Amino acid sequence: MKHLIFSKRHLFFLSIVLIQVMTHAWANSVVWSCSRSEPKQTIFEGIRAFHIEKLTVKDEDTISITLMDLYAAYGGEVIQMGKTKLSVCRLPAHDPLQVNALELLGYNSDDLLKASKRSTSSLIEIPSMHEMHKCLSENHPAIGFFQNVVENERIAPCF
Amino acid sequence: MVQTHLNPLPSTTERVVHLCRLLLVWGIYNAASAHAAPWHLESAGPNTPPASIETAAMTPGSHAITVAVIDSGVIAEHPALKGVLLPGFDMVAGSRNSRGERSPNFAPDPKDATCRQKLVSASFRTHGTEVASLIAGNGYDNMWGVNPRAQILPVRIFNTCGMLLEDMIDAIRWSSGLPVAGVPNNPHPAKIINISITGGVLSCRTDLQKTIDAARRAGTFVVAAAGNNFQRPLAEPANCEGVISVGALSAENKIENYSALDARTTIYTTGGGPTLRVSQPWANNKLRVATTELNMVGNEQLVVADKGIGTSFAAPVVSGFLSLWLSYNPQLKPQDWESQLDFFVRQVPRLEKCADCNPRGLVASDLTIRRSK
Repeated sequence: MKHLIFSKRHLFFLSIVLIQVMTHAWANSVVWSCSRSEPKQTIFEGIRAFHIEKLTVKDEDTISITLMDLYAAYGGEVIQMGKTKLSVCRLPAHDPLQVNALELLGYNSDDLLKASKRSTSSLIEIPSMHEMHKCLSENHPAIGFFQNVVENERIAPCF
Repeated sequence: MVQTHLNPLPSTTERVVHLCRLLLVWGIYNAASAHAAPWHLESAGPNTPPASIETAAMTPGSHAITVAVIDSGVIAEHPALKGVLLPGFDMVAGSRNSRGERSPNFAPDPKDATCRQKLVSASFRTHGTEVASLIAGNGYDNMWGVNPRAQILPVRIFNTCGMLLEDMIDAIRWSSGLPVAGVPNNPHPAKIINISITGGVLSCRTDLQKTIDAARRAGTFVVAAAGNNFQRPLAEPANCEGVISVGALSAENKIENYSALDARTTIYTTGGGPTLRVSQPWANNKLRVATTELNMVGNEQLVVADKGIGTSFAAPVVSGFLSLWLSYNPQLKPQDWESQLDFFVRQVPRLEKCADCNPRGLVASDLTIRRSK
């Protein structure tokens, strides 16, 4: 059947459109995740990208942040991405997962609450992890976290 | 009635004594502020951070050592790098270079530069400048590098569009004095190459490994950041044979949780991290770097700030240390480092997640530097 024959390019796009939730999870850890812009054919050039302080981001459409940005963003500082502000998706400050994520950065719930009150803060509170994917997708450029690696057309691990 | 008590006028002797006291206080203050080393370099003492490399009081040897910084470019105007930069090169290939072609202009992309849809945070722009300052900062505003007499060779391979492996390979070749097609020869071959970049694949590709082997044969030390992948294995170029891979420690000599975790990591040193809940002056746990900040009206200012976090900043501490060691004897080779590494290490607590890791932290003293001469 002719319509089921895909070119390599089609297969490539299909592979990134399919949501791949890898099973590898880290106990007591989180995977910092970054949003991606809408995939466009023109920006894929088969680039095997390297990034400063980053790794394994294969496509040009994923935002690039540094580790310093991650610390600063959850501390309530504004991170500029070109002329756009980076959004930060977060759970309620006392949610155990959020507390765990904060501990990785050396923060606690009070720090997060304080950061959220800053007038310039880009922290967006979501009620549960079910909303994380939506938050990242709808607020591009944005960062957040998952318990597992999530890599699809809208999200990829940051580091 | 208001009583007033008038002090008698001081005698000339008292005035002289007072003036001397003022001068003494001023002198002490000035000396302290002029030579205050960043915490990660502090000499051994009761209040020294446990992870300090203890080089602050060391005088570099008579040889100026060239260290290539393969990175996002360097802001040559930064006062903390005045007098330490050599003519570098922009190795970003033409198709991805907003300036159109490779050239000797090693400055980073302009502020707010974009690459089609790609969004990159502003901190990438200053990355190379920050790295260079940790190696050879000249002391401006207390921005001391490990070896202020080292010479920095800036080589740009990363811009808003990201980076290509081919550019990294050409940059390593050029930095170590090997020929690169279409690029003028490097008149200042580097003894040390610092690559605070990671993100290739989990096994070192053949072309990259061959390039590193060639650089080593030319006598060049290749130092690479282990990566900030939160305790996952090393990626390129840190996982290539012969590369000195550098993980990050807190000021308290503990492996930072963002650092890659891999038994192949050569050495650990201060990389900064979360603020420590201690009362010591190094509680901030960030590395001092030459960088930029925006003023009230959004203009970029060249500043020095305690904000460095990441293995990107641990690697130049090792590169700076190597340059200090080589400044006494520039004939030393990468193999000498490997055979004498035990002189330069202290034990670092292991992490349960890596049972076969034997983490070692960088430390020096006059004694260890001289024993290795």
